[in-house]
Amino acid sequence: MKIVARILSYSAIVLIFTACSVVDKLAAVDAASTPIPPAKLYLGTDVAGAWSPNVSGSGTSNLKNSVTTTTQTFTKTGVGMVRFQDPWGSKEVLVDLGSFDAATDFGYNGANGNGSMTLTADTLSYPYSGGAYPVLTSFYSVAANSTVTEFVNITAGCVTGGMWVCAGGSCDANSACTVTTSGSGSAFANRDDWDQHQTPPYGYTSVNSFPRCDATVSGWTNCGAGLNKLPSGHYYAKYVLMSDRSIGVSTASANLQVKLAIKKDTVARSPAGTSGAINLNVVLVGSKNINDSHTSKGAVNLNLLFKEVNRIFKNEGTNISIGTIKAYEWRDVDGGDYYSQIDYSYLGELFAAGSQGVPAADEGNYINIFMVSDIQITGVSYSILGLSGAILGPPVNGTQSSGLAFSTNITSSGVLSGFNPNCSNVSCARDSQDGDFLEMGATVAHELGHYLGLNHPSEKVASLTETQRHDQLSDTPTCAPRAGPNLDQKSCYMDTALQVGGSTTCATACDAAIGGGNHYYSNTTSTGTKLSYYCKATTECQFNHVMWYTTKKRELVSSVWQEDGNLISPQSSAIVQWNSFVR
Amino acid sequence: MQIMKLILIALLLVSTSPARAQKSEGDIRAAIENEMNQRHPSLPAGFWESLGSDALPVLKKMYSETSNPNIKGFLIDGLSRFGDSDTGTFLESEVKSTQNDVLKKKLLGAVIQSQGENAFDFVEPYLQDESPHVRLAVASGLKSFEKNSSIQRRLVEFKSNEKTPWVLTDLNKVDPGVELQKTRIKINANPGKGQSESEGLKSIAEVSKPLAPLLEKDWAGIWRGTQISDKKISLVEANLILIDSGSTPKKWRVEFKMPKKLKQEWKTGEFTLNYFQTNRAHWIEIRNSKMDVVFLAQRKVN
Repeated sequence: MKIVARILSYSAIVLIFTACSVVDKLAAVDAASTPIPPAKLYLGTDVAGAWSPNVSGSGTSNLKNSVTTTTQTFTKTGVGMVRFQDPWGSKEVLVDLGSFDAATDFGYNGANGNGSMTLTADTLSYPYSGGAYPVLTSFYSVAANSTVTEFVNITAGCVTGGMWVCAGGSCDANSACTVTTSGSGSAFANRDDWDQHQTPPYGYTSVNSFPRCDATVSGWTNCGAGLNKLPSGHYYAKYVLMSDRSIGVSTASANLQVKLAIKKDTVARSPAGTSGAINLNVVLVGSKNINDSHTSKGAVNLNLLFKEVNRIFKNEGTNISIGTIKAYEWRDVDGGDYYSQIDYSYLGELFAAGSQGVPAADEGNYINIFMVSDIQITGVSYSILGLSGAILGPPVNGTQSSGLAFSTNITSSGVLSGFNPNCSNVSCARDSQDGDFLEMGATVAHELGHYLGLNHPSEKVASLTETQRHDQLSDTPTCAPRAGPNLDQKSCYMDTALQVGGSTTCATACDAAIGGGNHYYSNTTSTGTKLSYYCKATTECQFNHVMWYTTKKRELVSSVWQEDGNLISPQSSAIVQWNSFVR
Repeated sequence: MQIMKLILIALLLVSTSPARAQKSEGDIRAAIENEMNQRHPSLPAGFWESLGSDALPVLKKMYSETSNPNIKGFLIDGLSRFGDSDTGTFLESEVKSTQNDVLKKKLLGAVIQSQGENAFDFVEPYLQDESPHVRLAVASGLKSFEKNSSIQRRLVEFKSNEKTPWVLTDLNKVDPGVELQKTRIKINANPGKGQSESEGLKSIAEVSKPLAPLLEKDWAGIWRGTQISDKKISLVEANLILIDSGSTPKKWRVEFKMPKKLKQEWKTGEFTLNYFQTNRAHWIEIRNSKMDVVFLAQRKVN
């Protein structure tokens, strides 16, 4: 992974100040960044005419009665720092998390139990502009019999050579710094899997959650043995603070804060047990979306939208439902209209400000979903449909990763009431709803998947010479790009590499699902004949998974939607079920 | 005979020249849809250009076929690359017909991109649009025409009348440094034969990379800046001298004027010279192999 953008963006910050001498401006640039103030939000139940969520299938009855969560905060002061390219040396800091019992604290009892721990770390009192990433370098328990269970297990090359090698304006991963399979192995599949949680796209908050894989599940590879549960023992975490500053930080220090969320769940993971529910805060950003939600059509479509999200999570693999939905309004006078059409590079500000606007009791209990009018990209005309604050969002509010956002600018009016002309109430059949509207529901589910810890099964590469990247799961199929570096449905269909289960390709499984023949996914021939076929339940076809990186194909055939699937694989489902938001 | 020779040569040229690759409408559509369908789109550099001029009618057709403003927004990005008057007229017509303010701001940005300063008369009234995002988009687009005094005067007037604070804040943001040229130079702390010191400056580097002609006049000359190390920050002066503009590649020499005690900071090795340009200043920075910034200097733009 290259981190060119971060290095160059800091250079740009250093060079912005031009009025005075460079020496003076270095001092000014190095002034600590100011915190992002909280947004003022209005709870829908306090506002006349506001949307009152009435989402079929959701509700508190979906919650597991077996889950309780607690939090603790740890702070270390005067912690030294390194830069991306610096060896860590002795700069790692040890955080004593205390003793935990597997049954009492995590709920493990024989075959039952599905507890977890989530560490959300921040660097406080950072003395310069920019920030420092708290990189988790170790997370381990020491049992009463002195057995050590290490979940991260990185190589010594990190200490001696640093995490990155930087030259010529960009940094590449130090190949000697990675996770290792030695000893009990690692809970991280590889270097990419580990470091994506240490350096999020927005802000400087790292989030790590364990367990995160289960080697006892047949076929779940790249997972250390014995790391599928949290054992009883005294727990420790180690961090190194990694500054994004280009000038030396050898004499600088800051404070490390770690918020630990402990999830106790006495019921086994589904399918053996029940799966539970996720609570959502839906924040309507800006006058356009707020006013639309006050209309009967706008409210109906909001309910239908989250009904679709609920359907995907409940029926397509996780058996997780939506619990409670609370609606909030972010008005123009409080900056809502400004944020309603936001450049994606400023989404972190939106997440930090907006998440501070919900009640403190919602922290770690409700995932924040921001509904905006447009997520733009400076300098181009195309937009982003949705973005999550991180792969694995924090159960903490106020960070630049504390939420996900999606755009409503898909109907010609740009608001939800423009959808579903054939629907007048929340009982509207799915086949009567607009295809673009159903796709918006899939986008929300997709971004929620990211927030709960899921990656795209495969990533588009910039060129065919670039190494293809896939998620860390063995039950999501891999797709290789075809001529041209792009992934598409056809590349998955035609990929002859063995897919899920090691026995069947997408083409074979899809053909079998729809009766054989030379079927593949395509749009139209030059004469306009449609060649599209759908085999939505075929797990071997990556485009059927909810985390596939493009929008889904669908068409109305005899008034019934024929469409690609939005499946959630069993290993994906396990990762989601460990999440502390699922209760 | 001469005419026959010429005809033969012409025929040979035609037969040996590679035929210009034609893309079918289906190919162009497929290429566009492949990029357009991403939830987090990121177009590879040169994507629209790779489709060629044949893409223009396809883009217009696809634009008219959909009511989805997100898809239209994607297609607008392609349309904005074409500067012909017909495209300008097409985009302007769409501006007038849309009720969607998100789409309107993208279309107006595309009109400016496509038609340049000629777009001013059309877009100017939208500086009074009811949507602050539309007003900001127009003002931001017009800001780039720095040498057009009438446009700049209108922008000054706009700023003095604009009532929405965040529009002004956004508009007044200093553009981040845009990296225009980067080249790797080898620092030689002990200049070899043929290099000479001039006016107390110690020649320490020579670079043999071609630079964009546009930048040559901006690069050359004295830069007064700051040398930075872990231990100290010192004011030094650098001189970028174009040694030989006739050579290929062109040769530059970097000379630094510094006290003797600082000379040892410069050790033989590979450094990277980066050049940045904003609306107000030009910057250069030199980084060592560890990515440390070791020299930083700026010049204001006249």
